[in-house]
Amino acid sequence: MNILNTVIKYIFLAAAGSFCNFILFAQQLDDTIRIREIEITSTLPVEKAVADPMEITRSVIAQQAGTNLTDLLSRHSSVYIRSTGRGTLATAAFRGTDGSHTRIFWNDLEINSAMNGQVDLSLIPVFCLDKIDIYHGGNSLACGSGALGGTLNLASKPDWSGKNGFSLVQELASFHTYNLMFKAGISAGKWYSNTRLFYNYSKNDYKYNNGFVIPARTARIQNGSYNRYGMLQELYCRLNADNLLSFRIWLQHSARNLPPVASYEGNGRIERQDDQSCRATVAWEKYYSRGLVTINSGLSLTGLAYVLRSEKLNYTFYNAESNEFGLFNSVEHKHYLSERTIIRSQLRLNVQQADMYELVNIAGYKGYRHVASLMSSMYRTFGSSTTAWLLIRQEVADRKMLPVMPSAGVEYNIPGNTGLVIKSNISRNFKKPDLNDLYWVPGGNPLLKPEKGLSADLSLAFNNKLGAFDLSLKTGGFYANIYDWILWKPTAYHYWVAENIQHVITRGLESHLYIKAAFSGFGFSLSGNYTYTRTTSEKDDVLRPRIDNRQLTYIPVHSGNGALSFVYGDYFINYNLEYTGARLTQTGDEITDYEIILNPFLLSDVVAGTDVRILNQEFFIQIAARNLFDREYQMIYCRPMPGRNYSISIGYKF
Amino acid sequence: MRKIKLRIKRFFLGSVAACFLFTACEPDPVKIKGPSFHGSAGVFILNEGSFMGENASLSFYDYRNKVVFNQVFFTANKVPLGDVAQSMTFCEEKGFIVVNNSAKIWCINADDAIITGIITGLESPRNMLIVNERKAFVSDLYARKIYVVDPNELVVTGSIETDNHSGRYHQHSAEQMVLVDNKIFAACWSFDNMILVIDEQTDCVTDSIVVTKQPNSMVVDSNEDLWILSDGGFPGSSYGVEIPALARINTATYEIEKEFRFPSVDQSPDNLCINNSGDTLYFLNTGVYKMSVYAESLPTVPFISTYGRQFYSLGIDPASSDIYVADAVDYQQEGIIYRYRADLQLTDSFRVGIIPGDFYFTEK
Repeated sequence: MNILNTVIKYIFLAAAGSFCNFILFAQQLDDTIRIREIEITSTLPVEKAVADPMEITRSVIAQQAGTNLTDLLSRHSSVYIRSTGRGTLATAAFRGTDGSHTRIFWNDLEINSAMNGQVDLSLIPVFCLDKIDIYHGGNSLACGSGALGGTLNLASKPDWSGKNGFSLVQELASFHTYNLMFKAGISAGKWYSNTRLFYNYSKNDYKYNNGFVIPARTARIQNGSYNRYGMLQELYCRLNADNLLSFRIWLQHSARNLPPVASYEGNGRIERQDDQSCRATVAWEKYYSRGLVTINSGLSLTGLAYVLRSEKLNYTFYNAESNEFGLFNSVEHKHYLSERTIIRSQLRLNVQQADMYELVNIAGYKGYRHVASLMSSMYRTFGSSTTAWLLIRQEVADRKMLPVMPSAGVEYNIPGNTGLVIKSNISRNFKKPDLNDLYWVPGGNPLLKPEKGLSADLSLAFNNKLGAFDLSLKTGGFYANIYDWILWKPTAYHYWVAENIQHVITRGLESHLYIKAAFSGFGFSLSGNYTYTRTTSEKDDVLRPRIDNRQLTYIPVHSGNGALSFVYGDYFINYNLEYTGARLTQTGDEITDYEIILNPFLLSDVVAGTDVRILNQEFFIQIAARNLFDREYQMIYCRPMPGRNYSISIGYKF
Repeated sequence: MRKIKLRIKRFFLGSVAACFLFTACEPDPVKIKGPSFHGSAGVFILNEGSFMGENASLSFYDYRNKVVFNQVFFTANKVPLGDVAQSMTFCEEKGFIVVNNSAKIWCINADDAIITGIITGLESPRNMLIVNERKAFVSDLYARKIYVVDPNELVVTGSIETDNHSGRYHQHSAEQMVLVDNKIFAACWSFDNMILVIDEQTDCVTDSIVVTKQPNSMVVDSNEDLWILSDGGFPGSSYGVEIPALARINTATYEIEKEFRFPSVDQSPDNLCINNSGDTLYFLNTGVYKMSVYAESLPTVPFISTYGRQFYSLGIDPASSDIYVADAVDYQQEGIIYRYRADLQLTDSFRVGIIPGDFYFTEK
């Protein structure tokens, strides 16, 4: 314990020193151009060892620009997506955890709802993103706390090539779906402006086989239409080679109807949800000879309106509104003590407020959250092959000090130019209860404890060049113990109460493969992800002892995806596979023969495209066929997903 | 006990094929024949399933042979029951299952659970009260009216407006209904405190009785008095909260003759039942409580304690006065039915579907 205290003390002293350095450097702003130093800092091997995120490449993001984040992640990452249907709520879950255990940042601004802890991925257009980094398990502590599963870092980036660029893309897709996307990037000296506008409409009336009514029939999704529009404006200013100012604002409106359950045969209810959001960040990045200081301030305003009504009766059954306000500030300092040692410190100060009100039954609450989070870390390379790091995060939330959140790891490059790297990480993380858990009426529980996660990773990576092929292979195991998992528990009073109930152990394997080759004018790449996840409840009930090895609901044991891509000149064709294994839909002390288990499914997509020059103007065309073999599948029971569907995109750029 | 388990297991094995069909998205070549209950004495157990889960189901327990049949409805009809099976009632050989969030009422043959028809065109049906072969009433959570239906033709023939035009709390959406001397007493439970009195002949609301907030269940005793159990609402409700109460109402004068207050506002009693002779009340208040209709105070000690179980519903066998109490466990897995004799001896316990919420006994 004494050793731990000493280490913590050392780290915080280093953090304090680091912030002092920042203050000193902030007072010495000058116009000196230090390009060489910047290059060095971006390529230090120790930097790579810090968090080891999995990155979704820019080309994949560009090809999927017309989709939302749900489709992109399910086809190109090991993140498991739970979706109730096309265009409806979708959440991301890592390693057998819940959607609220995934933290999502947009340009360093946390966008998880303060009320339920989740992000609806169906509302995030890929078109607005340039970079996606995925942090698994304990590595995510480098970004923030609470990510017991992992973290997604979404970012938009400037293009400093000095060129202006405009593009206009029109996409037509099945189910009366229309996408319009406009992007204008303008460079003017030290300024760069990027404007993105998008509009998306879908009647979303896809056919499915409805076996939930008699007689079973082919039906169309009712009341499933949606439309979204928004804009993202980015403005960057390179004051000089050492200072970068950036300003981003993302405005979005989404209106969607929510389809009823497939067995519904009533008079026709209208269920509708409108989401509006305004998110803005201002950031200043100050580079200096031995490091970088970033100051970021962000504002998030979101509103949600939900209505359930009958047109026939002209009556509203449920009419709820919620609003969230968040102010997020961070200061981060990365300092290279030497080429072998980095210290990184981060201070976050966040204020959030949420209120929810239901007008018919007159119920609601107002909740606040104030968080101060200090992180300090040190990374050091030993010899030519070993890097180790230690990270400490300390957080005060609503005037309560959370226990220390440490993370430690090591990376060892097996000598002999083998390309083999062994990595390991252990960490302790805490997730605070969300405001709904604390204050919802009825059932919110202000006495909830934070959920605690203890996790460990061990992986082996191989990166090498074999002839014309660049090969990257990574496989590893993970193990996490999550205590005090918050669940809403039914009570004798006929309403549910949030309680720290569950002790869950999740463990498994993750593998990632990437092969790339380029011949004269011909390019080829193959990528794949496979995840094996076992997530079990470990808490005994007094009367009903748990059954060993019972997988928690809606978590597949096996899941994976793959992408095969060929490029020749201006032409490309991709073939994507997505596999999701069987999923249980109910818990149980006994495995019964008549319970509902969702079938596994394998989906195939083909996307092909080319650039075309007509009258010296540059166009591009892209055609996609998704769910190529018309598989019937459900992510959530009784929520049929679309069969084979097509899209065609035509774009003009100059 | 071992014998029951063996039989249950045998039935489960026989149901495997049905389960595959149930879980599959593709047509299953296996031919499935529904089990026949013809001549069986037993109890139907209606399993609500979880909201938006589409996993409601129907079970049948043959207590003479101690055999449980689960997924009876699906096995017989090859279609899931729907989303939130709220209640069930019978009219001779016809069974009616009200599926709340699917907004329909299945009509089944009581002998084999085969579907014979369906009533649609509803909003959010909750309970069905059959008056005779040609007339029944269906309460509804959202419609603010009680539908009049023809159980023979399976069509909606009319409706009774119950809206008080308050604009708040959906008042008066009806819940449970009982019939006494051509008068329907309808409990308005959700954010309400009213018992509506409806003339069964004219389909008009003729009177109303104010009771403690949120009357959730009613029975009629051997003296034709109406017993009403109110849960009082929940803490934090903008509608307010009251101490729960059990009240006795004279069905001729509508006078509240007795009212027993529970000890605390934190309690939430429900599931009021009565035995066949109409002289003993049972209800849930975490545990199972029993009291005589002539008692002068509420029982203070549970008749059946929970011991950590989540008692969700209660049924009293009219023929034997056996007590069936359902444990919803965690509301996400198959519930457990505990069958007690009137002398409190536990005779059986068995697994049924998710959230067992209603019982119907075939022998009276």
